[in-house]
Amino acid sequence: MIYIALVILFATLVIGVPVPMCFMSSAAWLLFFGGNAMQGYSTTMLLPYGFSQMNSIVLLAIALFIIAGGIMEKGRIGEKLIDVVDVFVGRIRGGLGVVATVSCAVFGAITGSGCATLSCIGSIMFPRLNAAGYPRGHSAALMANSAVLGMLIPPSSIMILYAWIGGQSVLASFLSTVVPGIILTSLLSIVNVFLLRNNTDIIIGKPQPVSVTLRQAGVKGKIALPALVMPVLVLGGIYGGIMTPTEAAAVACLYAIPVGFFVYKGLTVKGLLKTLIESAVTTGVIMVMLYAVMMLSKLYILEDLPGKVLVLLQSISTNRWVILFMINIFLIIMGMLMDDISSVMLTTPILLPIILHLGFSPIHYAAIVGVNTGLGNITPPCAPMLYLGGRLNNSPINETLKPTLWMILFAWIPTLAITTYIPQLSMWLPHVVLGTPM
Amino acid sequence: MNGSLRFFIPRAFLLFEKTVMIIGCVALTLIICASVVARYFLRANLYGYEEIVTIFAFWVYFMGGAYGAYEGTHISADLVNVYLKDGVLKNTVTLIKDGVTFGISLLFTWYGYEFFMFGFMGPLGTGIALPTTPVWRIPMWVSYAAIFLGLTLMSAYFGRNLVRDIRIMFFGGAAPLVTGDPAPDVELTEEKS
Repeated sequence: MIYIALVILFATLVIGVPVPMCFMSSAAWLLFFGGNAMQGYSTTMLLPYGFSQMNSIVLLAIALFIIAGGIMEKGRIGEKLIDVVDVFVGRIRGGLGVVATVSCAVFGAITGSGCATLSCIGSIMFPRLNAAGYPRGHSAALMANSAVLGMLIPPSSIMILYAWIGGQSVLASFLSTVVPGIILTSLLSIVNVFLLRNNTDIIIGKPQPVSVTLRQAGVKGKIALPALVMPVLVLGGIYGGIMTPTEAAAVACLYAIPVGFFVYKGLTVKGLLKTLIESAVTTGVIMVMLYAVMMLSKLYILEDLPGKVLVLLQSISTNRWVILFMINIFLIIMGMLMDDISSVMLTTPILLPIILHLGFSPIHYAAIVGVNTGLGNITPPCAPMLYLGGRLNNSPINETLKPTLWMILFAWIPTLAITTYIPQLSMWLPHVVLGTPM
Repeated sequence: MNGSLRFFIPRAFLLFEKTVMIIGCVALTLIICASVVARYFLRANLYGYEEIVTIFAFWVYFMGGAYGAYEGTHISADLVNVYLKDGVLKNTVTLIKDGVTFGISLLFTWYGYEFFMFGFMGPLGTGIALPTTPVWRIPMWVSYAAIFLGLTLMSAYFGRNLVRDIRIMFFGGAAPLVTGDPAPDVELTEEKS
């Protein structure tokens, strides 16, 4: 019966049924026909189970980080962050692309959402990149790839979800993706500069003395100071043990409102209300999906799906590194078929028990999940970031695909391989900061 | 249904959803910040604030989910729109998709109703021994109601999509005016005539 439930899940996904309803369809099948001798399960246990799982204050961090991201976007806080980065790397060929990438990483240290990062930094960077003569397809691809850094640099909504579903430490999960995130930032910047090395259409600023650069950095840094305080507030609050991620997110929201209103003057009352509604809808869409996946994963576990998947994997190889490779391939395929949140929600309850059974650390796996879901966001056919980037910059998808392919080959795949096969890379920071065993 | 009522009810629900979302987001932010301020500046704990926060959270989640169904922003693979050309096959698959979506949302709305009644009438169905929160003794049906109402509204919006696509498939018409949408041209023409 579990196999038919899986077929229903994928069939409904393919025909475009909203993801929560796909999860509910599969759950409904198991409710009626699952269990021993196809007796089904009690229908009265499902919603209360989902409720008990969702009745958590930790999950609120996702909602509040989404609101904070929206306020920052409307309040011109992201723009000031970009200005500071621009001073340092804006004067080399492809430098503005590096500004975009690094800005995404910095912005990711506040929002925790790839989409918020892309829409905020993208709306500021696309006009600048186009004016500087960057090919539109390249700009869209670079921004789409870089926006995913918002998911890897903590705080990260995906990592909150993973930690919550898998019963792991949120802070350790956050820290596990930092080093892969920095590696990816560097590799994306290098690939960007390499791809544009012979492009003579790009306008670059004249070289200037270091003293001038430093003076500019001082002036722009002063203006951007209220914006630069935000990552310090969020990350310092969380890792200083002063606030939980949920509290840090709420404080970030409250801090961003006066900064957006009175300091940068980008926020209006109407804009704020619109942002609140948009953020609530985004949150609602995620949370309804989460509710549905909670119910479904309960049924999958009752049907022993993780055990069946493990037997299948072990029938191919018993080497745990080979199995980890297959899990990576499986995650990439899932990332190609569905969005990052659905993928994490669906695969974590199934694959995490297998990972633990094989003797891998769940925090190491958190980093693998983070990089994999990031890759899924820019891998067609389901590549929401790529489509959003293309739409924001009015560039056709075929022009965006070629540079994306280069970035996948020379930035994403190496980062994923390093993260998977050198566990110390993702485990080092949680070990140093939180004492998580290596 | 009376024309003005036909517009008024859906718009009233949309206004209700938006109001709940705004109040909920503001309340969540303020209450959680207040707990931090109380802890560090007043050396006090906001006793049981988590219970109130999670009630607001459920209302934001499910009204947001319902509004997402109204806007059509629920995440879906959408491969049909990308890879199938306009025509009978695409319309048929869309109709199946809408039918499945509506049917499943109705089924879970029924479960949502049972869940709400469990909280509202208690486990014995007599209105006594109602489940409540541990600290403030707030009846749990306050949160369960958000789930039931959210699922009901989602079913209504998914039902609207189904009716719209049936009309497109068989009559080539536009979306029916049942949700407070700005009026599509075809419908206006029909109503005027």
